[in-house]
Amino acid sequence: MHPLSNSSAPAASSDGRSIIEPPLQRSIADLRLQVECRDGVSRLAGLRQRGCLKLLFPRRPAADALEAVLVNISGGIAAGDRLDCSITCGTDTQVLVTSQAAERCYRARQADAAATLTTELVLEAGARLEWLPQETILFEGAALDRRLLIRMPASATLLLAEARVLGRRGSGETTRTLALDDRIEIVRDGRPILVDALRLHGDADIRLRRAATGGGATAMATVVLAGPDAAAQLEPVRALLDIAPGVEAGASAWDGMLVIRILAREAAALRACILHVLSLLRDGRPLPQVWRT
Amino acid sequence: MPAALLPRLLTWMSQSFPTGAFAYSHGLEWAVDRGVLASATDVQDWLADLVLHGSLWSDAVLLRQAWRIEDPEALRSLAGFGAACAASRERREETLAQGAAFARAIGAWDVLPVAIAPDQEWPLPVVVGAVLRRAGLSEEAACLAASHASVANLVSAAVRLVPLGQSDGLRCLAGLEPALLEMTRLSEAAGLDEVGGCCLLSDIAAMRHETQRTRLFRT
Repeated sequence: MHPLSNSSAPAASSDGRSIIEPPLQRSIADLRLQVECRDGVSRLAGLRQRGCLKLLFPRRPAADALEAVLVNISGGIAAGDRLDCSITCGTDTQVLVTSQAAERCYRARQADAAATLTTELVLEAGARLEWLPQETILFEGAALDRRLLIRMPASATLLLAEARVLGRRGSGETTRTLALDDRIEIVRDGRPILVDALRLHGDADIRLRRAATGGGATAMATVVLAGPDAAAQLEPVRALLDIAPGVEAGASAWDGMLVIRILAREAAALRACILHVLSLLRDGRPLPQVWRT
Repeated sequence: MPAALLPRLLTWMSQSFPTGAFAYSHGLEWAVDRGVLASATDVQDWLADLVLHGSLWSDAVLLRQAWRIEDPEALRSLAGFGAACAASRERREETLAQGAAFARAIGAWDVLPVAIAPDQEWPLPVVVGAVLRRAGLSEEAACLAASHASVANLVSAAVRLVPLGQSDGLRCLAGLEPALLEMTRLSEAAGLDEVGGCCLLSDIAAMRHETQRTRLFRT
């Protein structure tokens, strides 16, 4: 249970007028991780964690790679939170970052500022970073402004998956009010190659019912592979998407990257499809424990 | 608008202006093949969403920024950002090929900003925004004219694909006027942070068009 989730006071008094509400306690975090490669092994070169974002380093997925698990100890995201995360993957490092649990983004009150999450990932020459957090669940009334910025050279490889689910899984809850700005921007050698911006404001449930938008989907993911061999994976990924049950999906490759978009009515179908895609794009190497349970 | 500008604007935004627009369906061809677009109402709804919450919204935001920019370097940087906004390989080709064609064709008038050189790629809305500014068009007129031209091109594609009658297509265009006006109003205050939207199935349609067996359109 999120420590602040019980404080969502009604946004209006019984006569319908707004009432003055006291400011909520906000979560703040500033997380900085640096990884370097020494003797062929990726190691921690620097770690600073202030506030509610922490990293765990559970095990070595392979002898030479570093795995880090993000934990938000506040239990979820509330309006006004400000979480900053910066990860630098040094030359030739291999890094996998995931999250311990699905991130939950709770209802904001009418006058609250959106929660702001800013993540900057920097890859140096020859680095491979896998950014695979679990899905973000947006509850009715959530207000989230999230930026994911990646800077990389052409020699580096990036695999990222971002999944968003509207409403409580399995409860049939609808999301009538949402303020979501969720942007992924990839800059390679100083030039932007992808700006993928999901913006959903207002009645997300109705908005996503239309044929051009979501066709009734409430779970959506973007998977990107950027790197020297990205285009070679297009055909295998398409073959996989063609037979994935319960999803509407597409893939395309251009400008040194492979982009996959997946929509589903059920979060479970989305997750299953992402798992298959990641398994393919990671050459069958086992996914982190948190993804497999 | 000075009277001398009107014939130019009509020429540049006409479907016969050689940008090759007729060859691009923006993923509509796949959606029609899928059976998602079967009527004039379906087409109108689909396009209204693109205008207010999808790729055409982003194009309008880019066009307005291009119209406002004075600095050549900033314009080049905006072009790079605009190209990165494309949702798929064909979407990227669609905007860059038309941007290049528009810049070539506009050479008959002396209105192409010097910054727009073929040493880099230029998305269509960035070229059109910069050119219409240089030609003396207001930002609002430029936004509305270019968005209308895009919509008219896609309605024309839909008429060929669905198939719809000419009068269905015209009713569709008439019905899209409120969305175009609303988008023009809302995009005035929108900066580059506001590109994007939620036309996810339209983006997926553009991706899946790449492997569609029978194709009349390049996108």
